[in-house]
Amino acid sequence: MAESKPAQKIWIRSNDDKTFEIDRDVGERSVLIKNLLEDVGDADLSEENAIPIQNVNETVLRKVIEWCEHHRNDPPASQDEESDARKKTTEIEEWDQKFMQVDQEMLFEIILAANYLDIKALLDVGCKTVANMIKGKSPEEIRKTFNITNDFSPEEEEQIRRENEWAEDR
Amino acid sequence: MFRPPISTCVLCGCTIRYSDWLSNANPWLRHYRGLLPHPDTGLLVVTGVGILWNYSDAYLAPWDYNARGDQPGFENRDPDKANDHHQANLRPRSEIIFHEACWSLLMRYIPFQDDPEKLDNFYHVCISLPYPLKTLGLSWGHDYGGVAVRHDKGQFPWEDYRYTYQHLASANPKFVANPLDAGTANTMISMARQSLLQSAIVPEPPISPNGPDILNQGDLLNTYPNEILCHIASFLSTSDFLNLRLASRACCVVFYVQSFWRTRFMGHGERAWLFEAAHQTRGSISWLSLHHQTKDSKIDAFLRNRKRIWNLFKYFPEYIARNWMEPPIVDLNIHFQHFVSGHLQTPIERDKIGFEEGCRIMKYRKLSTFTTVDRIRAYLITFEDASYIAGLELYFEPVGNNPRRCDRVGYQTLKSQTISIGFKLQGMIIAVGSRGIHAIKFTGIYPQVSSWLGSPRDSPRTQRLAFHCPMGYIQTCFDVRNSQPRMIYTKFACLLAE
Repeated sequence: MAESKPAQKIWIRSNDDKTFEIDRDVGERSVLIKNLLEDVGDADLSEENAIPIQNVNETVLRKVIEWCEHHRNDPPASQDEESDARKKTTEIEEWDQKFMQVDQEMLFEIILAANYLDIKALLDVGCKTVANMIKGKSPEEIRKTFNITNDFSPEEEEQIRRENEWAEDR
Repeated sequence: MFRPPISTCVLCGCTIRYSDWLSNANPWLRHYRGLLPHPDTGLLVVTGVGILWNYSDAYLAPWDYNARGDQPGFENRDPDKANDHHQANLRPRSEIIFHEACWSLLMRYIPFQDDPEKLDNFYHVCISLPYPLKTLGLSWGHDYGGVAVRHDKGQFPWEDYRYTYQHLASANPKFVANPLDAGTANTMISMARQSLLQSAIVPEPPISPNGPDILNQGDLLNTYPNEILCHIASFLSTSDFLNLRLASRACCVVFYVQSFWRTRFMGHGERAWLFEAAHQTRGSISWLSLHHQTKDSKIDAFLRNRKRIWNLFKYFPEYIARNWMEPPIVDLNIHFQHFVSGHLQTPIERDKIGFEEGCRIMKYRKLSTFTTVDRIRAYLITFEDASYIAGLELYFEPVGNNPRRCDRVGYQTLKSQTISIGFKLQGMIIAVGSRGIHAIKFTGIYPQVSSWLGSPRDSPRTQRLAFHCPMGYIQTCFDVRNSQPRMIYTKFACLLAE
């Protein structure tokens, strides 16, 4: 019986100089890393020559890697806009819900990292989590949730109300 | 004169019938299809188009999907020649009948006609639902967008609403306008195209993304680029988004981004019923302007009826995407001591009078529960905006050298919830509605009790159904009728007992 081939390793480095060794298929959940790997070529892959992830620090990168490891066998993200739009629900699978139970700052960092690393499924989960924090809330409750100071002038607020009325389904 | 019972479209709730004034003005109301097993193969078939020609016609339709009742060869409308090789006799209250137009609309919403499993799931959803006499249609738990009248007086919140059919509905222009008719859709799209050419789509200059306190450091939304804000907004309903822009200056800008408004018209977006818009390319029209023109107050009767029917399909993706989980055989016979159920009806054939509300037990399965349970996952289904338990997965702690065991029963659906247990099950606290079990808490030796699995709402709850020793097994019952487990649909888990 043929022995299973060990997973090929790659190395990525956070912006605070922490190097992570990960399986290639885990790293390739990120389109950015996948494209970089194609450019670099296998011969140049080494721990010393780790791929720099400039916009992401160690803590956030660790979290992103955890997500990619869990989802390593997921089918690739759909490029079909129609089927993508059909799935525009805010349902989040259970594991991802638990994964996203972090403080707001970390949640926002994960979303930014997913956007930078081009991991569409993780970006979706993050944005859905934020959307779920907004759903059904009044403007005042939303401000409280995200610690927003109301900096609209009365004129601006009035304009927003007028525009909203223009767009409301009545 | 032979007069078959009147049938109602299972999708839109309006009658499928002939009448003099309908035949000229709204012929779509007398064009129908059916969904039923073929007598020769047993496979489910969506029939061709049957057409009523006069008051006394039976609901006959050609078996061939592409055939129509007005083609040569289908002139014989004798109901005694039912279910022969050419035509199906669709018996009201027994077969699933719908307008041809409504089926086309559903296939635009979610195309599953060529997926036998999903078609089968949809069929079994339909035949498991009550068929109250007074509504003339299946009881989906809604009023078909105003076609039926809901009566909620003298009922408890956990009871099914009762509906009566509005006899005037069949003459109401709101409900008889052909939903496939484009109406003013193309004019609206042309106007939206024109709108793009004009510089100002909204009457006032946009709100500036930079307020007096540019840093507004508390607002983490401020740190996002517009594309992420748009992406977050795409998961919100328009009303939630409009509230968000009243709260956050950073999100105000999304209002002026065309791609955000485009999401309203795509897939299952709020305005996706205007499917003529889906063909428009990204930058060809002003989506914001189109959104404004397709407000409820601005659309014509055709589009309004289409919108009504389209919105009735909201939970169909959940209903058709499910798999049966067959548990291992449990060869135990322990005397039952406790049981809880929804509003159970005697299991009678659906086309006989009597199954007007609640649910029926059609299938029993047992799950052994002797050993310590590590965690339990429930699969959930939504019906009438309430969540019910459709399936259970029990993960047991390993015993000795045996590997960790997981037993499953019921239906695997799109939504699930898991809770930790960590003890041997001795009882349950159950929240129950008329159509099944909403939520369960599991109990062990006092004071061991789990959190809720499912959503208890404001439905009645048992105090505690418990034993002094671990349960032998849980018996679960489902409302199903097909003997091939993978191919059937359960309405909802409707009884649990020990």
